[in-house]
Amino acid sequence: MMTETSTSLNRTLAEYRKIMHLAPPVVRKGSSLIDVVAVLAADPRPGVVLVIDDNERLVGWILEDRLETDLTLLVSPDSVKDASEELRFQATRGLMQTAGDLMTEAASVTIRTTVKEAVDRMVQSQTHAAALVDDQKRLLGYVTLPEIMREMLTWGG
Amino acid sequence: MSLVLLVDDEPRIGRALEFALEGSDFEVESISNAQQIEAQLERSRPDVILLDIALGLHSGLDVCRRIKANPRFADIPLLLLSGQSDPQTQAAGFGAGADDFVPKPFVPTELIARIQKRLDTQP
Repeated sequence: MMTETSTSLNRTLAEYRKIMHLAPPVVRKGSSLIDVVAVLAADPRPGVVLVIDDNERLVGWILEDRLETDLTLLVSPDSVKDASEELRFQATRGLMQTAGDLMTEAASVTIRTTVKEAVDRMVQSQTHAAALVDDQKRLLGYVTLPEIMREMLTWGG
Repeated sequence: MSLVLLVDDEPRIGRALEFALEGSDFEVESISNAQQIEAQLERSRPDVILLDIALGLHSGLDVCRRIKANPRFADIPLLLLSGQSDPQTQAAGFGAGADDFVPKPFVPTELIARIQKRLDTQP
């Protein structure tokens, strides 16, 4: 069993092509917070909003957790009793920010990335998803850790 | 090999579709200008049309109605692609004559199954 698992982890993501999520909603660097929220609502599965530049290359992502704090405070400030004034100020300022201001470095993979490398990148970024890009770093879609694991366990590899 | 015509003005959707169908029995042709769709259908009749609802200047729903109202092309299976998969949007798509609805993002397994189902049910 240990050997089978090790073998599976060394396979590339090309073998999981059929369970990848392709053509996801995206925002551009200059998109507003409202646009970011709309994209997250359209497809919340990856837990991130993917950001691309004018050449459709991946430039970062915005973590759902990062948005939750801002949005909760903005929509219902009283619901977060212990929010400091500074935090509320930051959240309010968030409305004026663009996707480019809010984004952080994204965990990304290609179809030649091994499962182990993909898992390592997701763990490192504390997410369950990674952006899928082509050789020119243009965004294709995303993969999620639970789906890859399910595929490995269900089909034996 | 079956021919899929993608009508979409965003190049990344075409790249994603080609990635999804790589290694399958489908070949992809793309056009970005919905005004050219009839000319393209005359030139190279596809087995299936994938049409994005959001087409910049043109409404994909209007294009869908136009194709389905044309007796020369009405029998070509037409699947609508949309980032909005709420019931109202899907109902509008079927109301415009679409044969099926493919939400974005799409997963190759499901996309291929939907296209194949339309091909299998063709007379």
